[in-house]
Amino acid sequence: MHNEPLLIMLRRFTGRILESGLLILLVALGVGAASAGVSISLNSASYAADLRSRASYHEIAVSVPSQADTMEEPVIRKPTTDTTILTYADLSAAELLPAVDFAYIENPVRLSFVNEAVIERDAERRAQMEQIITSETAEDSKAEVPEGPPESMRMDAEDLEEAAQDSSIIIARIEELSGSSVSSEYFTSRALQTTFGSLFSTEDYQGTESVIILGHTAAQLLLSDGMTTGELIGKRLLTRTGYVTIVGILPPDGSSSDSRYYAPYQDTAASLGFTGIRRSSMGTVLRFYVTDEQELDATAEQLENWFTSQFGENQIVISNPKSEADQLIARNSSIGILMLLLSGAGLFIAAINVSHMLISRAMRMRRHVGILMALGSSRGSIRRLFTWESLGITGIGTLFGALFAIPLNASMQQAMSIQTDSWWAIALGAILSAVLILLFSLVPIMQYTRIQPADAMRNA
Amino acid sequence: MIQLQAINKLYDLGVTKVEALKDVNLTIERGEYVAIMGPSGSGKSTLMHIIGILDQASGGTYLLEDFDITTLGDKEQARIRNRHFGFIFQSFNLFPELSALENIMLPMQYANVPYKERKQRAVRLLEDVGLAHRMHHLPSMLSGGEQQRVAIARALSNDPDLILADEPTGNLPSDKGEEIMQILEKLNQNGVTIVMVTHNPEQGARARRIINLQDGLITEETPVKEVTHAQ
Ligand SMILES: Nc1ncnc2c1ncn2[C@@H]1O[C@H](COP(=O)(O)OP(=O)(O)OP(=O)(O)O)[C@@H](O)[C@H]1O
Ligand SMILES: [Mg+2]
Repeated sequence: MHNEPLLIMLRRFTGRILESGLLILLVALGVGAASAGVSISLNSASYAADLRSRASYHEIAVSVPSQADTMEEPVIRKPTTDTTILTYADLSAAELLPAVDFAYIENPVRLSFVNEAVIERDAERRAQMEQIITSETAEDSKAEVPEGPPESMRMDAEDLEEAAQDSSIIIARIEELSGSSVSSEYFTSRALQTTFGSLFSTEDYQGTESVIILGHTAAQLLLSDGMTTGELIGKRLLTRTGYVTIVGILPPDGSSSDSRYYAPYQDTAASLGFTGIRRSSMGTVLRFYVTDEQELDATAEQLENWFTSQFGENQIVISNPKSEADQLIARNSSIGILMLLLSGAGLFIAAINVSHMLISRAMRMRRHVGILMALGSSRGSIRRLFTWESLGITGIGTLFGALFAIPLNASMQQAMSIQTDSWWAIALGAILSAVLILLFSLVPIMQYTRIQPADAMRNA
Repeated sequence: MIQLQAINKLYDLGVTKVEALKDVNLTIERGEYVAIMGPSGSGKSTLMHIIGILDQASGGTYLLEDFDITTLGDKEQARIRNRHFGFIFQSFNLFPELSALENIMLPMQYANVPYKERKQRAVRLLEDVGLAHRMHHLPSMLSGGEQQRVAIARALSNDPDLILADEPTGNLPSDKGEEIMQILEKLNQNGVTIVMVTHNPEQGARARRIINLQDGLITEETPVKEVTHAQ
């Protein structure tokens, strides 16, 4: 270093490594706590805004109690749940409620693809089964064939071979894809448009063809080498139960629905066998979309009344996402404020201590200041010298503090189930707290703006 | 030329006030060698500090080359100390963190002398005081006499016109003190003005003029005969 006065500061810094380390640690702790606090409260606020703006926040879900729910209920009620079936017709409840802007029905569905790995595994399993069956029949001939789709409906190695020849057929590398069959209002409620292809046509909902629309990520999973996303449109996918045709691809929306697919909800439940209805009704959800969030609670209550009058007590579950989200938001915002207060207090204590330590450091440099001024240093350059020291300590401490805030913030957000992660919130917190500490550390510097060199040297 | 006119220095300690200097009038010509003597607490250091612009007088006028230095700002005062004055203290006042060489280089940093040049010059100054072999030593590794010689080299780094030495030999054994006295005398012969505080009458007698202070007042000024020491 070609600056002798700075060299003095540097050597004092490294010469008292314990004290310097403690100073940096103090800054790091203060900055770390404060920036995590700022980040948590900012992120919880932005997460709250994000939650409220989501479509799902505006949707009241009506469903049949699941097995898990009924487990806690008295056993007597159990059989009744089987008889409750939600159908497309039940969406008509929306017509009675002016606050409901859209209503749609949703049913969980799943595609099981056929590819070489799947065929191979099937063959292996079958061989094993046959072995067990043959060995068991020797002793006991009552052995049953395991459950599964009937042999006749299964796609097999032959189909796979055939499909491999056909360029219009895609053999997926993945084995399964989850999705929802939805009625058309799903797309209108979210104002969804496809990036490639188109939404379902009226005929698609009437249900003769198997057609699907892919979420953005799901589409990427199905791409084979050298294929563009747009080329997926019109292609058929080989699944265990036959072929499905891709008609559209949705833009990414950043949520988990990106990796799902959509099928048209075909209200043919009634025409299927009785078992078909039962199975599909288990996961069926009616969703009522209310744009005006003020109306959500009242509408949920009205829906509750209506469905109770239709099916009786405890036959359906109404879940109001607003009250759930609001609870989460309220809890998070109070944690956020508490964190901000605590970390602010931590920062303040750290800043005062840093200031205190710097003052005592500066006190011990009184004689140095006097000599420096005698040798030609102006008050301004003395001030600059101490500012450099403060900047150095604050800078290094802030760096460590920010590094320490990243995991702290991440684990806090995880505990609070906040799913936003913006580095700028930590950076903002770190800058704000660094500025505060710097302000506090300027106090000792100001002490030397008035001192007379003679006094500085005399009282050393 | 330094002219002090009716200089006062008052230390206000709240309950009591200490008048360290009372209406001091003093003129020091270029190239002079002045010794300031007097009992402890008589205001010698205070006077030196005011002359060196390390402290401000409570009253009176200080003219440096007919220029009133109290009208100058902090930066200009610092510049005068840096370029024109050299300080030597009883307790050496070297920076313990810097080597002998770096201590001498420091004032040149404030004079914006480039690194290489100030290093060369510092080496030459160390040679002049006979300490070239102690260049990279920290002050703590040097003897008192050696430290004071480094301090003198530092005071000379920017070619000062005036050396202010406050009991420069006070902390040294007499033989080492003698070395310092000889260096100062040589500097004076080269035209540098020297103002020195001393308790030692023998040392005082080697100056060309003795100023006696008593309770903040100049009691007598004794011109010393040229013959006692010249050339
Ligand atoms: N900062 C100060 N505050 C109050 N009084 C002071 C201060 N500095 C000096 N004095 C007083 O001013 C007077 C002159 O002090 P000064 O240091 O000039 O004496 P001195 O002649 O240099 O003494 P010595 O020979 O012991 O060094 C003394 O009475 C001293 O107590
Ligand atoms: Mg003194």
